[in-house]
Amino acid sequence: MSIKRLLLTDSKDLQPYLDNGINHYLFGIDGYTTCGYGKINIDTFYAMVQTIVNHGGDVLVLANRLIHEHELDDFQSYLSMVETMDGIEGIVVGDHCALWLNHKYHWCKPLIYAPDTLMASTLDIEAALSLGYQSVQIANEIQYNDVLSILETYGKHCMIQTFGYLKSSMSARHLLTDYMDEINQDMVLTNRNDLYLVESTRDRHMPIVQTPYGTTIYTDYVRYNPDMENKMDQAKEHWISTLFLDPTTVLSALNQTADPTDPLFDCIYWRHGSTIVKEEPWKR
Amino acid sequence: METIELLAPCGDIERAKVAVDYGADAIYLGGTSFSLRSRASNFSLDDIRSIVDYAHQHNVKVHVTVNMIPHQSDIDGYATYLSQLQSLGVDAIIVASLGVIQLARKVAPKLQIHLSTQASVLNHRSVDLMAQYGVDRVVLGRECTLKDIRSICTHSKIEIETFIHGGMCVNYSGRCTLSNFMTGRDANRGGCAQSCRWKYHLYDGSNHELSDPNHLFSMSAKDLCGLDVIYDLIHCGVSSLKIEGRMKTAYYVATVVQTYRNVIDEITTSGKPLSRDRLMYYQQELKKAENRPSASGFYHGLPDHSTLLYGVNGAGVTHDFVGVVKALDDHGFTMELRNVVESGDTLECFGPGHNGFFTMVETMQDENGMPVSRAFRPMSLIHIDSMVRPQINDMVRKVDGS
Repeated sequence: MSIKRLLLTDSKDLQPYLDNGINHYLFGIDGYTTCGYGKINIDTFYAMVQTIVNHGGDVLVLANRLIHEHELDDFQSYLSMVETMDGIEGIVVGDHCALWLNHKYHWCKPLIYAPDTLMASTLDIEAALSLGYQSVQIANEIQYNDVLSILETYGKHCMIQTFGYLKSSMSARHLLTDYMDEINQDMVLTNRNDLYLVESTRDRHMPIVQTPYGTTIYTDYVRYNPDMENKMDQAKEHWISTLFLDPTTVLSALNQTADPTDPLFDCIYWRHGSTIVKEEPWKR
Repeated sequence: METIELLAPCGDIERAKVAVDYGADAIYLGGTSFSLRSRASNFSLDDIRSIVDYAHQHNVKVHVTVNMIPHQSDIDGYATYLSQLQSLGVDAIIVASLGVIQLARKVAPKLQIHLSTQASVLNHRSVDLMAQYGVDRVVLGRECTLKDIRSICTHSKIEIETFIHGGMCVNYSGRCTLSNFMTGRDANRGGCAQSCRWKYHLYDGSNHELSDPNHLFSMSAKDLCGLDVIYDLIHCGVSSLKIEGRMKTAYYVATVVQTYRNVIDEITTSGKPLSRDRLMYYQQELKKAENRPSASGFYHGLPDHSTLLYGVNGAGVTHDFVGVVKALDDHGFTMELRNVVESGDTLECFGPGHNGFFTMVETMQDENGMPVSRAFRPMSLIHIDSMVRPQINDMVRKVDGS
């Protein structure tokens, strides 16, 4: 049976989940993750970890941003700090420099390689494990049958996102600031989580977040398919992203009490002014 | 002063030969399988054998892209393909997948392994790890600044390659699945639909539009042009400068390769950076073939909005490719036509190692020797009366607006 682990991006979201008996979490300090937006600093990070540990839970630390050369020292300090903390089950990384540092300093915390894409076959997963990673995150964009095939062989080393908005692009650029400069608008859009894009020929809404470290765009739908999810129970962990979603919605999906076609799920889109329910690519 | 490899793209044999002839030190190409440019012409194994022979005769190396991120259904055939590339004499493969690297080391150990920019390596620790893993060269992510590259080269024990010219992904290469999720076309398996370059409205959580409906949000990066950093990159210890564009035309390849060849040679001969005048001269040379606006990417730091395109996608290309010289005689030259030529046009002939043969079209004749004032049939032969003496196979371009 897979562990279900909640990806948090805001400290205020923690309590409702703890109150509902959820004990496995995934989050990191802003600046080192690809999905934060300024809501988890070092103090809130410590407090969250402590609270979870006090509830008997555990944490995977998110440190999955690509690291530029000039950021290496800071990143090393972050990993070094995490290494000494109690209640941390492992570190989720997206840049191989983390593995190099792990080897160099003989750190003990397991590393999970989660580049979002790239881990799309048993060939790559086997290679990542041979490099020294303990687990990997299966790429979000691959077909359902490929997921099952990978899990048959490497399930106990695999994490997969089974719920939430999926990351669809990451840029080092400040794309929103650039655009505001282009249209001569003086508007600060950094670290906002309420913005979305609508491609000009379709009515589908894609969340976009700009942080001081770049810009991330998400899918225009929420992954949720209980039937498929249940067939992936060979995976070590199922990751549940809470990003842009309220705890009630997440909890109903987590308990599989939500019907993917139920209008309740339209509220996710209503939040962005749409009632479109998009086909899940796994079905294609 | 140390020199540096100029690495040129090619989508088929014609373009590969042009890249070799016009001054590339190495060329890269994709096979019909496992490569990221599904719309490029791409090379069969026989084509690869043929171009390896041609390139090696000219002391030019051949790198083959095998940079697709494999899914389960792609795995079969990889091992055979890699060993075939080795037996054809290919010098290096460009790989993004850890699994393919592992496989290549096993089945084709003579092949050099170059880690693709799709792997988004941005620091020397990642380079070190990949070196331990058996990678011989890392193609850095295009988000590296000059300062970062200097530091990476200082600390790295293996070769470093950087992009110097051509298309830029607005997102980290290999980490973008916009195309997958919006169109079902897999960006990491050669199907990128460039959804980033589409137009988007931007709204806030109250459904209030923040974008200008007449000037919508987009994520189209200007092409990279690194003419002004070549001296620094050579000094940093970068091993290879890569030109992007396996889907570009032979004319584009000729113009861009020749320009960068000349720049590298000028800098390494003089030991100095380009003067302002020479930089402007080479910029003008590139504009003869460049059809998109360009910028210096991340080399000088985080790019701003001026490096993105929101409306107009085209740049004024200053010259049009109109033909190839096929024969010379006492009265001028005969060229195979590729584009319209009219009386009064100013033409420039250029070839490997030379350019600047200008002539104005006063009189010309068709294949039957009949005088014409306008030639327009592609691949037909047209004789231009001229005093200039180009060489066989020189390319001919028309000065725009002439």
